[in-house]
Amino acid sequence: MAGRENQIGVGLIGCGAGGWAAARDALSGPMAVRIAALADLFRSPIERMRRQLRRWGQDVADGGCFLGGDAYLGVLGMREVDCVVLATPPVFRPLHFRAAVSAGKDVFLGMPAAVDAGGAREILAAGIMAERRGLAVAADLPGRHDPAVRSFVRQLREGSAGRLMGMRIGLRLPPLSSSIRPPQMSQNEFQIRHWRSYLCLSGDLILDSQSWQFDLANEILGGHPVRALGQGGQSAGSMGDAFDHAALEFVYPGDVRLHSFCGRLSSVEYGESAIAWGDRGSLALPLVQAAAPMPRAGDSGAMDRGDRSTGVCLGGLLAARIAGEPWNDARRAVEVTLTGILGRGAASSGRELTWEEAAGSPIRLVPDPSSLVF
Amino acid sequence: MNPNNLHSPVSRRSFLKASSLVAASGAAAPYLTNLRAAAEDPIRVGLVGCGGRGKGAAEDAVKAAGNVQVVAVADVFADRAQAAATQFKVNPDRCFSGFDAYKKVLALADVNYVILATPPGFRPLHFPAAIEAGKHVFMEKPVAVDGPGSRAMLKAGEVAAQKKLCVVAGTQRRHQKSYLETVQRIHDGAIGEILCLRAYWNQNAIWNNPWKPGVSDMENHLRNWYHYTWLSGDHIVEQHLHNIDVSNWVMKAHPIKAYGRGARQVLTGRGQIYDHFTVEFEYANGVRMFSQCRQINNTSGNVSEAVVGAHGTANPNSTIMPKGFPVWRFRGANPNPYVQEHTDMIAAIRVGKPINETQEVVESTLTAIMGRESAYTGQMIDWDSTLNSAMNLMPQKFEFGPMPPVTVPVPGEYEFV
Repeated sequence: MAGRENQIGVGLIGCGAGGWAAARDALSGPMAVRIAALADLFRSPIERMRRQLRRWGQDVADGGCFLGGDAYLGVLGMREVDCVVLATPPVFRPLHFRAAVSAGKDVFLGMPAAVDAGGAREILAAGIMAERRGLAVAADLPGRHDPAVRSFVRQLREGSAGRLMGMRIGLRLPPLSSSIRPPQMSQNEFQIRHWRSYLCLSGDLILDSQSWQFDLANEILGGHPVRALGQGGQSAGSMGDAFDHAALEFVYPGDVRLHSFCGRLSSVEYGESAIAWGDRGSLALPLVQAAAPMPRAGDSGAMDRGDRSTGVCLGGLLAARIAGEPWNDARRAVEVTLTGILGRGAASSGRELTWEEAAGSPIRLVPDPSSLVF
Repeated sequence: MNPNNLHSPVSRRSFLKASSLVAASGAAAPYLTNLRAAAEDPIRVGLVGCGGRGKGAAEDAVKAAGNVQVVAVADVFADRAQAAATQFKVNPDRCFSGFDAYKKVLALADVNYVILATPPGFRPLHFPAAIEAGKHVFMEKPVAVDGPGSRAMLKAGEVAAQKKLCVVAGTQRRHQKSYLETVQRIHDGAIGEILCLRAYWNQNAIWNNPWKPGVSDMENHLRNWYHYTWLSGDHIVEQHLHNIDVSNWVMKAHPIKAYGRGARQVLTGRGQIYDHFTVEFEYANGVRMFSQCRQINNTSGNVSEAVVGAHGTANPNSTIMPKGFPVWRFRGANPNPYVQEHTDMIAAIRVGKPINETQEVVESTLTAIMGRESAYTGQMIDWDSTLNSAMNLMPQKFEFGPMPPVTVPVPGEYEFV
């Protein structure tokens, strides 16, 4: 029963760490999955991915491998591809998402969904189109599927901390490595290869690392924040312009505050991923390994960590597809992304910002992402 | 030093009682002062540190009660000392300059009230000497910039208690009626059990004097003292201490851990301090204090504290917002706290019931140092390692000469010992 009609064809757009994790998880689930197509800006991630897929019993034909700035169009043009994984640097996400929906593909949407509010609005619009077309969209928000996180949310909902008065989320990551651009490499290529170090490509540390935590907070606090204040900066002198630390204070309706911290400063971890306090006590969520952010692109250890539950999202999407159930995370993905953009704007400007200011911001960090491609 | 003192809830409670007693007598002071004017013991002020804050504190002391006179001044710089001597009509032979000028003020037998208002790095040098000399001390905050300095302060504070000397710190919110009444209500349970606190000192960039060529490194450091950690402790210690102190006051405790971050993001020029910090402090009972301080132009300003309780929230400066009950807002006379702190201290001296704020202000100073070191290192720093730290920021000797180059702390490279 290995007929095409019983198999789900998956295309990976972005063969870095996010793509690897998604491929591994798609293949380890109960569904019959075939990785049918690969796209990346660079040759080496495609080669590595093909080699790995062969070890997993998947052979991607030459005709299914696409290289370069238009590679995503090649994947989207393949009839064998039912579902695409969008796992490039976030700056390309709105472009790829729009195209994927236009091509009628189900989408596994890497987070953040965009790097600026304009991009987030594009995601929203394309998400509505996906809904109308009955396409499934699953966002990479692993907290929605992690048992420890679900239990934390359930306990809070059941009132174990009482009426909630505040919450703290925190994340510490190891520093990013710095390197020097080889003379023959273009500035664009160098930056895309080190995209986490650049605000306009990654959305900055806040968006890059904390999406699932913002999603958790918004879920628990019942919506998105109304305003934020914050601080951030680069204290360790690393390459690029991305912050290496940020501390945010989001204000939710009823003056409930979310205190949010992220940093790439040291290996010292928080004792917990989140803590919420209410009028009957507090409740902590132990460190959620499953929801740790994606390892760095090209990180050889990425496949061995087993520390992400992306596959539960992707697997869920694939299962929903088989069952014909609607699944559309686009709005949620946009809300989470805008939460990060609000926090980043407050930390970058040092100004207290409202949700309306952030969500309505006209700033486009990269007006035409396709122009980045060298 | 007995470290138990730092944790003793008993001594903390007795301090608070003493503090509110004095505040109450302070409120009645205008009448008492008039009645007792003739019998008032003279307060003869020696001012150590004649910058803006020192002169301001001396003015406040003179305004605070009757029969108060500034009789001696000291500053490392002669120009500063002379300006203060002229302002307070101090006899020229009681105007001292140089690094040991403070000793000359302390040697004057008639000086019974010393104001210590030099850059904070010097406090652990000046305060023990003032206590040794048997003077009542009003000292500006913060009172140290490192662990060794903090320990010297605690030790001298104990000596002051034995000698029944009055010690008041420039954490003037503890003498401000609106704070006193609001914090009292929080302590009385007006918003229930405390769940979390916030503390902010976000402001524009501060003054920054250019490096003067042809002048020694030491003079350049001193004339631009705020920008050197050995002198100011950085702005989380120098300025934000006020808000941290309110949190500790509300909590009747000090935090035991800090997770901090910060950087020198916008600030340029010589010096080494950061321009922003955010610290998550954790008290022994798990309650967090979220602290922010910033000195960057064109950013949102916020100098305040907030307390979140199980049954409401409070702005400890004025307002209790209990859930489901009417808001209580402090109204009525709110005397200038910068004067009131001297009024309270002078009243305590005159009635012979000394107050001693050393421990509270050292705890808040150490709290801020703990936050600073956490940001500098990028690591969690705990109370004991801050208190027992061997890191001495002070120079080997005090003279107008070269100074070792300063570096901006880089998390991951900077070491705290």
